[in-house]
Amino acid sequence: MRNKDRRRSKHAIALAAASTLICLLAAACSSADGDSTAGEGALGTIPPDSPSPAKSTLTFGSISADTGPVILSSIADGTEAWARYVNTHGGIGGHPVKIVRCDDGLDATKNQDCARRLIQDTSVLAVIGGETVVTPLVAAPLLNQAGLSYLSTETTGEGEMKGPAMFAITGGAITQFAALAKHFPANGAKKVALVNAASTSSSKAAARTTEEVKAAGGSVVATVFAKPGTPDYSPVATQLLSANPDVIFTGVTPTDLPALVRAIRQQNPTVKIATLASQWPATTVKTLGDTKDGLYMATDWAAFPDDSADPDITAMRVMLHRMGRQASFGQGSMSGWLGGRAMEAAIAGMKDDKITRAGLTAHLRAATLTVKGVPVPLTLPKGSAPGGYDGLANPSAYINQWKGDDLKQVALVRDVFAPAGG
Amino acid sequence: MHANIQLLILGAAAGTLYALLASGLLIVFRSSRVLNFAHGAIATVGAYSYLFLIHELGWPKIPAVVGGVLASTAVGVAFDLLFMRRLRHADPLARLVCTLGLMVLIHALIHPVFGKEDPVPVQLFPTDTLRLPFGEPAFIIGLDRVILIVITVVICALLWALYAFTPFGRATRAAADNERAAQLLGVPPQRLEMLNWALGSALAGLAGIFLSTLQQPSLNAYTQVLVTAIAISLVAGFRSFGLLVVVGTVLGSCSALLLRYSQRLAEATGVPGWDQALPLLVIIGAVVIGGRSVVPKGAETSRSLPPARLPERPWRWAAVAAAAGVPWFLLAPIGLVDPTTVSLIIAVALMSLVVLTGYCGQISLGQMTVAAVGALGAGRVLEHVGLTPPLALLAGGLLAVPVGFLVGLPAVRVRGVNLAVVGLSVAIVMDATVFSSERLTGAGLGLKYPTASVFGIDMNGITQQRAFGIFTLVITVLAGAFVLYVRRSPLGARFLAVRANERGAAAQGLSVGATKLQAFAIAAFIAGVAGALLGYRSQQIAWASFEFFTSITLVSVLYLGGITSVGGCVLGGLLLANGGLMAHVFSFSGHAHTIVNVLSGLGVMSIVIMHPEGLAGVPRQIAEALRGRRRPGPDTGGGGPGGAHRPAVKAAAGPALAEERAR
Repeated sequence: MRNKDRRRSKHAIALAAASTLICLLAAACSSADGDSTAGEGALGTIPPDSPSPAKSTLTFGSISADTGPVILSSIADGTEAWARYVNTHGGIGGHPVKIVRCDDGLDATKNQDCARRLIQDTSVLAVIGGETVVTPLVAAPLLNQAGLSYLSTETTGEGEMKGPAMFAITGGAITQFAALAKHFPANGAKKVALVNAASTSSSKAAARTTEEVKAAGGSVVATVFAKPGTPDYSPVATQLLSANPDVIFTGVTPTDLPALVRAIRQQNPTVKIATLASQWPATTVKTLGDTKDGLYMATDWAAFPDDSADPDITAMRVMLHRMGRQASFGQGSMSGWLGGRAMEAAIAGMKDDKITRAGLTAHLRAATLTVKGVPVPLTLPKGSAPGGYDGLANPSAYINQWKGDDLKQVALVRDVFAPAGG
Repeated sequence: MHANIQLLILGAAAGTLYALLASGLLIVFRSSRVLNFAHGAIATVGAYSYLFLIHELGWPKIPAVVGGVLASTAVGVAFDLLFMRRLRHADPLARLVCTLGLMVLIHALIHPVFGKEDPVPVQLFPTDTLRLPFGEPAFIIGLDRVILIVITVVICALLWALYAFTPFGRATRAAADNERAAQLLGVPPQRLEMLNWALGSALAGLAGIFLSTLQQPSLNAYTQVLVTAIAISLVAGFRSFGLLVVVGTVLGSCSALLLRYSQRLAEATGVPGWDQALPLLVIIGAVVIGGRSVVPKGAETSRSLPPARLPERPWRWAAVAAAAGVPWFLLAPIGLVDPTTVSLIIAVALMSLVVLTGYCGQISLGQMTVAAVGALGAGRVLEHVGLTPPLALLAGGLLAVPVGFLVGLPAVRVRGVNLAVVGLSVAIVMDATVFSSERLTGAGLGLKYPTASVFGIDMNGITQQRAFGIFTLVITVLAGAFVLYVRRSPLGARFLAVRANERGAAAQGLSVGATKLQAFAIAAFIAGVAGALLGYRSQQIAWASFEFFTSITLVSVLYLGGITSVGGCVLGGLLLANGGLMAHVFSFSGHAHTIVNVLSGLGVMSIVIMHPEGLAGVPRQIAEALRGRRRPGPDTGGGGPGGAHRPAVKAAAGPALAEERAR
């Protein structure tokens, strides 16, 4: 009995020692932190490449999923590349640029924490896109509430992009679905089956796509929402194919796409399948293998992988290469880069003393980003949304401005990826 | 009709794969009497190792399969040798929590070890389409699915033969039925247990590899598949491999068929996710109806939950907390304020488990779901009625009570791991339905909390972090006082009596079912308050904060802090809550989540062996060691000022007192 007690006491002392060690480590790290933002969380900073001009540094935030179930870091990479490029060219009006990144791991709780940290960091002037699954739902409203502008690089749905400081450079998934809806019925594929990831933004996108398909003279014959990570997509494929569609539009997560396509192909090798260019991780194309041959994809102007004539794309590729990263496809690095360019456009006409969160928000409302010679407003014109201006309260109206020539539309995935080398 | 039959055929293929995963679970359960919640994580290790060997080392497929299976086996054997072997006679909850610790550890380490991106799947079998000789048009199925079905059926048949006809199988069954008798007959139970862990883990690895051919492997996907495998095992009664295949096939087919109608159900009810929810609801029903007969009786346990001590001079501790906490919230760097607030909110959520598990002995793996209901309730009330934050918290707590009551109803008939699985299933059902319903909860958008003030001070967890931190501190102290009050009350004595010995408590005239429901209701109230606090803290409730995995980690964090101690809750919240103070401290590394989860996983596995009272009991033991004598605590059992002087309650607390005296 005494031995038992002694053993317990030893265990207790060992545990206490371990706890003390942890606490000491904690205290040491805590005191090393200094101010409230340095060394926080997954925040990492990218120092300017060139010697800083005498002017103050302009800091922008970006939330990305550098870890987690799906890696969505390409947009933040693009923004980072833009910052490095700007710094090597004298900054914005002489101001060096800094990007503060926060990794949310595609987790809503961490996403909230990222929003909180960016709000606390008073040097952050605005937040540019980044991870586009959770952020528009969770962080963006919080940022807006705190008066910090959020510039979406992939608008994910109506109802999410509300707020006086909510901006966007592209319509994202809704735009691309609209492109699919316009293209296929016009080319004889009138019966459409829809499969989306089970999420709020997906259901809204599906509803909108249904309207678009009807408007184009087609009909949606089946709609299925599949939980991300569905172990076996065969039943989903059966459900879709049982409606005998001409084409299947899919908005499942990129990591699920290969399994879905394979399951559909097993049951029907010829049916057309069309998908979106939404932040594809590098593994997706590899995993698709031969099944990408019959797969169509809609892309919009912010999702182009390669265009040797475009100076933006060329510069971005160079900077990403220097960073040891690759240009991604989808609403990826190019969107992040253009997000930075939009900030550049907004700040261009500002006096130094006006470069504050509120000042930038006001200028973003009036700014336009020029891409390939086309001016892109970052928000709706005042009064076009019901009830007056409310950020992007009505993204449909915003998106409608960008239908047509700005959507590059629909091409075989095989051909889309060919120039980028997969 | 044709499509329905086609769905049934295709669903059967996935169902048999679930059965393969469940067979490993069954083997481990038979030998160790533990429901291995790390089984899905072990399967992930197998799948990731297999793909790592192919992609990174260029191994051919078959050797890579062997490598993946061996990796899973190694994890299982190491876990048994290092931890489970020492817990052979521990409380069932301790063993279960130890497997939760392994799960948390593997989840934390899988990406640092195998790379941050999930690996690219590799097709193991040909994916040609087979046309079956019936149906018009002919029914079809992938050749890979047919191969998977055949392999699963063959493996299950071999396992049946192994356990029915070989000396190893007979010895395992003998040891499972009566370990002491088996030992007397010369059966070495520890070696048997290790072999069964090896076999079970190998099967997990193989199932993981097979699953990776159907879908991109990921931790979340495998954890969800595990829940289905557990459900299959429960319905099959942890008895027969053949029954596992039958139940798995039926469940897989039904799930596939439900997919056809889930959209219509969603449109009709406004609630999505019926294809996931209905099978689990049926299983919950089956488990509850099956009652105690579902899980076979295991060997007797020689230890139980740690004693539920009352702290000496609790009000002094409260005063110390206030005296230290208020200046902290006023003066600490702003970056540390919110993590401290999160730690305290998690501490309140943990207190709900102290009442439920620490005092009453009931396991809940869905407590964050109850907290979510509190958050939802408070949010909805605030939408319509302009309540002040304290009243909103009260509303959140009260609205969570009916849900806690409902979650607790199965506890009247089931207990132990079955109850844990029922709780987990309820959490998953709520995730898939209520919290995915835009109409009810705002789904992914969540619910916004309006700003409110107390005594003119804005209680906005984002813009007024210091004030909100102090508010949370006050609520935490009040919640701790409430839990201690419950512990001292006659009700607390009844809880301890039920925890110590249900039959004994019933023999003393106590209504065991009613007592359990009271514990669930009180725990739900506290969890609801914590949920509402989280709502105020974020100003917008994201339901992902309440997903079922969070509930699982909550239990392991509490066990590490001290499952019967209010102080343990605070320690657990400060040290191990994700987003809490310690996580913030480790954030300098950029891997705070990983570090905290590694500490949590390793810590909980170690603590169940070394110090079941948790970290909160360490200072007391040190003090006793320094004093060189053991002195019993002021009240170590069910007595105390509130209970000891009342004869009826004293009688009811008899088993609890006896248990404590036996220490």
